[in-house]
Amino acid sequence: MSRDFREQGRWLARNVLPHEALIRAKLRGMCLYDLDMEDVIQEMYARFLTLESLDSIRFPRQYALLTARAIIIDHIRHSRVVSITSSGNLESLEVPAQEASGEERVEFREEVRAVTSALNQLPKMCRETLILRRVEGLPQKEVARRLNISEKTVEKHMANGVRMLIKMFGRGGKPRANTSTSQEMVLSKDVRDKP
Amino acid sequence: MSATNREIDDRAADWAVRRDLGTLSAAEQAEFEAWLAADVRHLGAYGRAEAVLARLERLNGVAREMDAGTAAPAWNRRRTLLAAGAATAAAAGIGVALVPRRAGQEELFTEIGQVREIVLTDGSVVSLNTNSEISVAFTEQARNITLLKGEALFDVAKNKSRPFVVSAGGAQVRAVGTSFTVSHLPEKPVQVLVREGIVELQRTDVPQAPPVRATANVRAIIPPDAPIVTVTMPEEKLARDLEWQHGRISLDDETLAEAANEFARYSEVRIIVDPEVSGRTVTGLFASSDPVGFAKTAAAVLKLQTEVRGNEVRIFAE
Repeated sequence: MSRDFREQGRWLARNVLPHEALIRAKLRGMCLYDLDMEDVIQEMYARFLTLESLDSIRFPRQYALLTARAIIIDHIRHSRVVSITSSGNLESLEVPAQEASGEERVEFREEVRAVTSALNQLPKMCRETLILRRVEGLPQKEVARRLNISEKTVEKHMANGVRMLIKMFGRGGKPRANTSTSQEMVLSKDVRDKP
Repeated sequence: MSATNREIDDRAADWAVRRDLGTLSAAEQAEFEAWLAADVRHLGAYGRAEAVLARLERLNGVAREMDAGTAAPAWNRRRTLLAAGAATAAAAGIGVALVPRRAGQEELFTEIGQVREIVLTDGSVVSLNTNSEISVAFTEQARNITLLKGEALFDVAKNKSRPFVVSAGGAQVRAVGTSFTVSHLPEKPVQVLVREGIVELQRTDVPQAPPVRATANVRAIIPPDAPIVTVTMPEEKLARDLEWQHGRISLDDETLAEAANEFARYSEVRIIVDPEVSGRTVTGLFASSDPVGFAKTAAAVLKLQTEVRGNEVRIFAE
């Protein structure tokens, strides 16, 4: 296999995915005319994967927001006509530094609650296959045996489960999305990663 | 979510699961690589799908409480509440006022930056844009309104026996039941924008001129000493021109200088554009209450600089 994104996937799971709902909420404030928010989100994840190293990013959520902002500006520049629908503005995508340092880390308990709550909303077989395979780490064969289904069916349920989780996490797999954007933004260079 | 993005996400989920289970054949592996390389969105969607799988690992070692006698997990059933209200665009200064039912003349106005929606005694609704003023004089026979300054949208309640007439500058707009705006701004001719129905335009300064009819999606310009000009415009453009009702300014390929003038209607904060860059154009929808935000956004996009000082924001080249 020439490329394996498992490690990046783990990093994204810890540092970006839990914040996706917040990132979307901030982007939604801009509702772009010619730009699909889903494109921006997908491209944002892509940019993380093309980075040489993720270790140097100290404030991933802030970095994600700045990346999304950079993508939007790129798109706008390429379309030549400046076309923005903004009930807020690009500045609103910035996260205050204090917030970045204090709340970047998702509390473990909160994270467990978010993931279990999402799993609970899945159809039973989707949930069971994902738990046995991904939480308990059983081989596909064993998952199939325990649930008394074929291996192919295990794959199908898992894929359906992941499809649904992608949407759920995007909507807000986190119980409380932080919405305090009214704070004064004091961004000094030393607490700010540059995308 | 557009179908395409969703399809990409779904496809990414399939690939990530098959990678996890190790069920990809050599040929499928090559197909997967090609898919990843085909579009930056594919790569991003795949990264997220991997992240979803990885996120489940976070539950490793977390005790799974079992309901007695069943294999079903008793995860905490509390539903996740969405706090997505974050982006709600609360357009400042919009309110609804009910005008008391009484006959005679009445003056209604808005301050700079304010938008007001007023229900008149006949059931018609007037939306007053920033810094505008009307006088209302209703009788048994007629509904007369004078736009003294600014801009107003009229949603007229139908009443054939009681015409609804708006006067502004040297123009008179007559309607039966329809929806239109009249604007009377400094140094600009009176303009009428018809959203629904038909209105009849009459010059009061040149009474012998024949009336002109304007239908939906028509903009009529009534210059002081020249014939009335009517232009048909796309519905979408009309909707954008009415965005002020929601506290937004719509710019359509307008210069920074024109944009600065437009924002000046809504706020005490002045946008000062360097002559060098004042011809650069901007298109979009912006919060009318936030000239500084607009200046910064436009500058970011046009690769310009901004500087805020007191009640001014300056836009200039690097």
